[in-house]
Amino acid sequence: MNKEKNEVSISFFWSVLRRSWLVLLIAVVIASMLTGLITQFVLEKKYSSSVTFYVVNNTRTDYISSSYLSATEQLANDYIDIICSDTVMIPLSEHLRDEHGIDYSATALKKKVSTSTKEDSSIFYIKITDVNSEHAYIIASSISEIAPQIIKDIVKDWATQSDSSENTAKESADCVKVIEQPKLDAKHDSPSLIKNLAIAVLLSASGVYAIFFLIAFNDTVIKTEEDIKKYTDKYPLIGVIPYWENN
Amino acid sequence: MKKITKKNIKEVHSLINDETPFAVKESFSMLRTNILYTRSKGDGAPVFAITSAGESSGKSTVIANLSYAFANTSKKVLLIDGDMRCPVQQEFFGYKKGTAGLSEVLSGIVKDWHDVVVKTDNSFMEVIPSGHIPPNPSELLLGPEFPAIISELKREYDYVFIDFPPIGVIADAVSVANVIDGYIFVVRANISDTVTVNDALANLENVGANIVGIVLNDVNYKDGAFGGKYSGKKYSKYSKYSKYADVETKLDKE
Repeated sequence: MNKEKNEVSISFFWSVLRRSWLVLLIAVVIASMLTGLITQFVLEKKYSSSVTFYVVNNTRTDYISSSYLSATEQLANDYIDIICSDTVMIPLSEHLRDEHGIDYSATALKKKVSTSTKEDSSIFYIKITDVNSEHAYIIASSISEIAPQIIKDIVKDWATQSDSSENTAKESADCVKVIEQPKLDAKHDSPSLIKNLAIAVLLSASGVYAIFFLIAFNDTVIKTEEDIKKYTDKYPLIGVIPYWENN
Repeated sequence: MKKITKKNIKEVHSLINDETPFAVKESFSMLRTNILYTRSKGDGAPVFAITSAGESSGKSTVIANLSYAFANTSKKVLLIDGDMRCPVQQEFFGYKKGTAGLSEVLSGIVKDWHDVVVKTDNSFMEVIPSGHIPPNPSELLLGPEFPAIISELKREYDYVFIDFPPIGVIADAVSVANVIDGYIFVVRANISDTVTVNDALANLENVGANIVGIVLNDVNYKDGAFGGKYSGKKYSKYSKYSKYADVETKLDKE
């Protein structure tokens, strides 16, 4: 009889599924229930509020070229970095404490900020995430108030150091504009029940299937005539006696 | 149908009768046909030995019923219970355990093997019991008496079958390979594993044994070849062969 061959056919996967379907189903149900309970009652709910900014590229041009777009995208990234730096965060922290009675350090505020840009556009987003929906809204609103002016002051300082008249024109122009104000969203952003359930179902199902697969793959017990044919080509299968009970 | 595992394994010490499922009867007929053309080494009847890798493979049941299947073709058949440690053929043929048999003949206590032959209810079939359990079964088989007796038996019978202990446990079956025309190797579904079966077959190969083939025993009705093709139910209801399956079997009911 040949040594065990490490080959797997499609029917093997199907036979593993047939053997494991009940345990798989139970595991999925239990995992889903646990996930649902944990998501609803254990995990901390987080809320978010977003500000949408538009980058103003004050370069005078008769047409929009690729270099113009590239420069605008670069400006968006620069302005994001400025907003996430202490240059904005420290004044933001002071503003929140003084105006709204919310005390967050600059470092803590940085952790609440997430940013993104839209490809091939002059738009970028600042998203604030917090366990308190009102705080998320207030922080985002404060950024929409403070950040454009700070960015403008930075650009103005740079422009005044140059002699060109073009740069002088930039002195009075806005660099970013808020095109969408933050909103107070009562619905939490995370955790997402559907997403967590999907992950739980996928992980539990694949985990159970993988265990059954490994057990079946390493199972050397002969069960059917196919197993005999699989492991030997030397000796013929001359008889198959079915199970019968002594009457 | 319950799954047979090592925990709930049940020995079926029964010969085929009217109550036996049709599929089982047919399986032994097919087995008989498959080994019918194995030729003897030299003159006389072919001598078949049955063995397995481990215990509880059902080899004794298989050989008892196979011998019976041959006897039903009006051939003179002798079955020797060659397991002188744990004999079971008495369960099939109704004689007492410890009835004088092979061990007495090989040790010289009984001079003539004819004196230990047990008749069965089939006039074509006879049995030589294992005898009292001796202290040295392996040595008895290795002695000159065994080949001599086999030579005589080959002249008097059409077929000789010997039930040996499992090779994975006792090497008796291997030690007499020079007088055996063919080995029938029994594997039990859901019990035997490829590792022990491989090792046992390797032991037979090493002594140049002629392995006639493998018998897969105790196959689940729903899983194996008998899942549909040879089910009594199918024959009973739909097939032109239904007259051969007029016994409603336990398998059909399940």
